[in-house]
Amino acid sequence: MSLVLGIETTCDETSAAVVRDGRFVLSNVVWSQVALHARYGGVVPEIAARAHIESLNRIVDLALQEAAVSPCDLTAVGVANRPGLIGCLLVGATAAKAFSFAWNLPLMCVDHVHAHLYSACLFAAGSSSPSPVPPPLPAIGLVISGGHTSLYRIAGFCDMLRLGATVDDAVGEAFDKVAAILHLGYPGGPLVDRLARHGNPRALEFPISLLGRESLDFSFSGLKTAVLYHVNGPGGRQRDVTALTPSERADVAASFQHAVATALAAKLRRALERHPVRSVLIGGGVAANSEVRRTMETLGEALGLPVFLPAPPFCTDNAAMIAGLAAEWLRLGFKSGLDTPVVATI
Amino acid sequence: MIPYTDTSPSLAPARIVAIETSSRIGSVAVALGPQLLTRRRFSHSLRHAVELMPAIRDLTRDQSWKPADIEHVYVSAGPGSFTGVRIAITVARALHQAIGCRLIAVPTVDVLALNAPAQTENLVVLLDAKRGQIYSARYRRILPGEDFSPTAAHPPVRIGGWVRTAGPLLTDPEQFIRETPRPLAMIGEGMDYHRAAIRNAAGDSTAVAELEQSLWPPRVENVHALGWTLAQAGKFISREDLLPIYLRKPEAEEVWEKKRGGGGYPAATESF
Repeated sequence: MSLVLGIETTCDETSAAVVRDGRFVLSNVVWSQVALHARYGGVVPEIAARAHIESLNRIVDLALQEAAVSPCDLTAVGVANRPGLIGCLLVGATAAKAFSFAWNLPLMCVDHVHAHLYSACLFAAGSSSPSPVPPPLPAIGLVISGGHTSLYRIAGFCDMLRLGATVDDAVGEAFDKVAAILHLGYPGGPLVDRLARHGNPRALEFPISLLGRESLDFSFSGLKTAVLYHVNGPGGRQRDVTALTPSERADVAASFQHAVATALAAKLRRALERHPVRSVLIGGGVAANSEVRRTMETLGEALGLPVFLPAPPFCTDNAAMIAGLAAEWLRLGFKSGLDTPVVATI
Repeated sequence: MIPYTDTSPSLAPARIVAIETSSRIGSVAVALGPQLLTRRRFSHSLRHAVELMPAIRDLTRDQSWKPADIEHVYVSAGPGSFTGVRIAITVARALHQAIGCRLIAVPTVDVLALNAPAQTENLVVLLDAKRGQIYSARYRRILPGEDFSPTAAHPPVRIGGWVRTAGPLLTDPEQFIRETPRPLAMIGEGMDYHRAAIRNAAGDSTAVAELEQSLWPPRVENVHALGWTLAQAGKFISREDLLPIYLRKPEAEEVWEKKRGGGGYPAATESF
């Protein structure tokens, strides 16, 4: 049996978790800094790093308590050391190294984006639902979050090949910006999703950028600008969302969301046509979006492939996915040194 | 400035790790009470995150200490490089959480002041804080017969041959130097960034001197020496209170407050 303490501080969530045997989540404590960054309309790296150092130790204490695990029961410490905001990564990675040294535990540094793809394997221990079947590999993975929009071919959880990525905004960023245009607040994903339930997804035809016939990359800046011009008028400065009726606003949200889901599904379908696989894994905060989930499941049914989506608590940034992936790497005999650097980019 | 929440003094020689990562080249030392046993300077600049924990592991192992044998951790707590100081403090907090060692925060300005020979009446530490400002502190030479006993009414904090009289603070270099009594010596890498301000404040005065450049980098042996003094006085700090001495708000916060003062909350669409 393995018991891994996971630590996640790549952006604006401070999280610690304990995961048993790489799959069963005994605790997953997430402290979101959303309130600290809300007035800036996005994450401020220096504020995030300061908040991580103030909260991390308390979050680790809580994760151990909730899991009813003492440090001497642990098998390893896992941490996301890439990619992310450098000052934030440093807090988590440095603390993990110190814990690894002090508790004499192996250190496992893992990739945050890869961990999002692992999150569909996680299962909240103690819940009444049956243990999920592990996803059959190879698989195509799609990470959709505020910082990343990427397609991967997953031969194994230690063997992932990136096939494509966004060339401009990450999909979650587009949700945040559209939420700002609609004066909904921050973070935008859940707010747009809520408003979209009252709208018609086919009321407006926003552009879907496919970037050429062969591309597996994504682009959302044109879509975002189309929403801005539709709401605020040509040039984006003639009026604002208050000129729209509540029903028109809901239509904008629903149509934008529909365009996003369509773009994601189109690229996923392209990847599946080129790479024969046994399943599809989706990860990241936008995987919690109702329209995106529905579209992905429909695509899977049409293609006869199982689609694995994380449970909602494991969609946004969380340490359970870090601990889970770390356990998988450890199972295969990998281990990181105390001199492992943090890396900001993929 | 530093809340001392654990005030029982440490009298027996403790096993100590001292960390200095507030500037470009970091260093770490291990000590037994007042005796510095060994230290390691990092190989290159900005290698704190990569070299600090291996250095602590190696230096403690060389002394045949197990991690749990570490009793005290002293850190140069800033002001200085936000990232560098955060790395040291993250390590100190995590070690406390893991093994219960006691913690001491040493202001980085004091670490620098201890480099300065007390040959002039006054001393100013200058560290660049960007945007035309410095992190600074002012010191005066200890007076003959000055009472440093704990029973003195207001016992001053002794930093080698100096007593700190102002700071650490974020300030305008020209004004701060102008207001410091003469004769005056200056120390710190901030001098290289604020030459014009120093010239304006000093004029042609021979009563303002720059200490030689080899004295400018903060030294881990000073973190240990000052930390041990604080430990003997019972000036330990709790894990929750051990945070970097930033002195400066994040730039985004300063900009936001300035905008709010100057006419309202920025519209959400300004981020486009």
